[in-house]
Amino acid sequence: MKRALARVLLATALATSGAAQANSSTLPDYSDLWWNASESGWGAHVTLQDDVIFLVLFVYDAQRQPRFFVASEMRRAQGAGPFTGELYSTTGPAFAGAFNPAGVAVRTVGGASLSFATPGAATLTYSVDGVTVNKSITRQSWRIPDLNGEYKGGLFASTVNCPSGLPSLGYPGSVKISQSGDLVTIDSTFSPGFAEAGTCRMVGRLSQLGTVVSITEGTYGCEFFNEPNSVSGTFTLTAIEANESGFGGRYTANQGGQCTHTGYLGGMRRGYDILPPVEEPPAE
Amino acid sequence: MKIKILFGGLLSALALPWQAAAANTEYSDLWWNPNESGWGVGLQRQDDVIFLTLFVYGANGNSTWFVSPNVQLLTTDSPSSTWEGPLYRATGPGFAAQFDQTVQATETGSARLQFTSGESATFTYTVDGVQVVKQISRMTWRQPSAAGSYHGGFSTKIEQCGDVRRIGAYDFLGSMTATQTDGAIRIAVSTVVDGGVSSCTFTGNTRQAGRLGFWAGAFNCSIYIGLDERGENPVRILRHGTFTADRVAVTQSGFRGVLTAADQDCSFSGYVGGTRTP
Repeated sequence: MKRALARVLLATALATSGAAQANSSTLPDYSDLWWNASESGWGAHVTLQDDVIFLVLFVYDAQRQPRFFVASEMRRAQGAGPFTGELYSTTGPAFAGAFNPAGVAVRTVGGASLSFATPGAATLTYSVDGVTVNKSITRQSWRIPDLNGEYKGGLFASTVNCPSGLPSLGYPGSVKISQSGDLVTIDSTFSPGFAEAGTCRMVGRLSQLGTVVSITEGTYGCEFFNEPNSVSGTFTLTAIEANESGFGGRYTANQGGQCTHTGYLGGMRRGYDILPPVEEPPAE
Repeated sequence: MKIKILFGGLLSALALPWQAAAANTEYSDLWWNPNESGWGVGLQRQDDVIFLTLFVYGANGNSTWFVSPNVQLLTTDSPSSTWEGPLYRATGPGFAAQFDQTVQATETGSARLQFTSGESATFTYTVDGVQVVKQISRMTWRQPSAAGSYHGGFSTKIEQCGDVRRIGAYDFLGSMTATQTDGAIRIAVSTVVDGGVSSCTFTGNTRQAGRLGFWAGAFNCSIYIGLDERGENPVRILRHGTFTADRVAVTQSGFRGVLTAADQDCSFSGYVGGTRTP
């Protein structure tokens, strides 16, 4: 792995200097533990940093012993298509003793390719000393993410064929997510002063792909404080990534057949608690 | 014991979403010891369980791996927390052969992660009675850019004020533009309230640790509070100070991180972030 990691170290140095800084992230985050659910026992640890994937493949050799291979620099040609890179086999000092990195030897054994059909499904192709293996893989899931919380953010989307005639919409404000099992309710209140004030309720079903979740079968309805007419439709929220600071995902919606929305819904966590109102004692 | 059984045990917990999501520090990453290039640890967190995969070498020098699919939180969830789980060694059908269900997993010891921050940890594991202790940190090879257009800002508690009337909560949200070049970040937020424009600008340096960014620098805010007594000229409050944004995740839909800041009078703690605008 010395050569492979030497490249990584070089990349790190470049990143520190800013030269390896890439454009603003537009890819789904493919970082996750991936497997073939029908072949429990081997897997692929995928880590994406901007436009480079580091793949660690943990499998077994012909003697049934655990072996790992790495592809430390998987990229997409011209920024599109599958991620590809060289695959390496390494040997090194035993874990039980002092580790001297000079004792690590690396050998190129073939190549690796990851072709993502969706953010949660891919085809892994790799070759080791002339033997090529093709596997369908998906993200591995073991816990339902908890989206419950109150956030500051909103919904921002491009619109096509919508009654307003405007090219975009923005509903900034407060977002509250209530999750019970796979049922998710998103209540948002738009901030007055920035956009038309109002409220929206979105209800859908949560489905999980490893660390990334989606809300499907969604319906929404919005009411505006200064307009008598409400709007409603269907929506999906995909590639939702949630962490300690907030959540966000890709939003698509359809309002009345021809009107479509495409954009993002997300927010940072509210940074403070709101204490419940103090009840006045009953008058005597 | 088959690994499938281990995974199955985990999968049975799917109906139990974890409730303490607000402190869900993101440890998922590829970790290593930069002075010992050649081995590493893959961590993948889903709520209160970390799946750990250890990539090392055996006594014969060949690569080998161990897995701990159920590393559980022992302490309060925070950037400094302790996790532990059993460690397994597995054998199975060779990668070049048709995969069958003959995987066998044997418990060899335990794995323990003591995170000292969101970016470093002490990793202790035992294999067949041999204990190994290593310092590990996130491996970094690229620095994603947060440059873009967003709607966002910050949402914080206000504490430790000389003027106690300022203690409380504060949101500042509006149109946001982020630029990032050569390890420097600039975030400008502006909003219009009561016909007046308020703005805040954060400028600082960025540092990347694995998938997460760490920003630090200075901020300046000009807050419109209304017109003067004559109703002619805007009255503004100017605030300036320093900030850090820790564990910033830049994603397809925006960016979000943990904010701490201090101006001339108060301390702020909460979150900073933005949702992309198309």
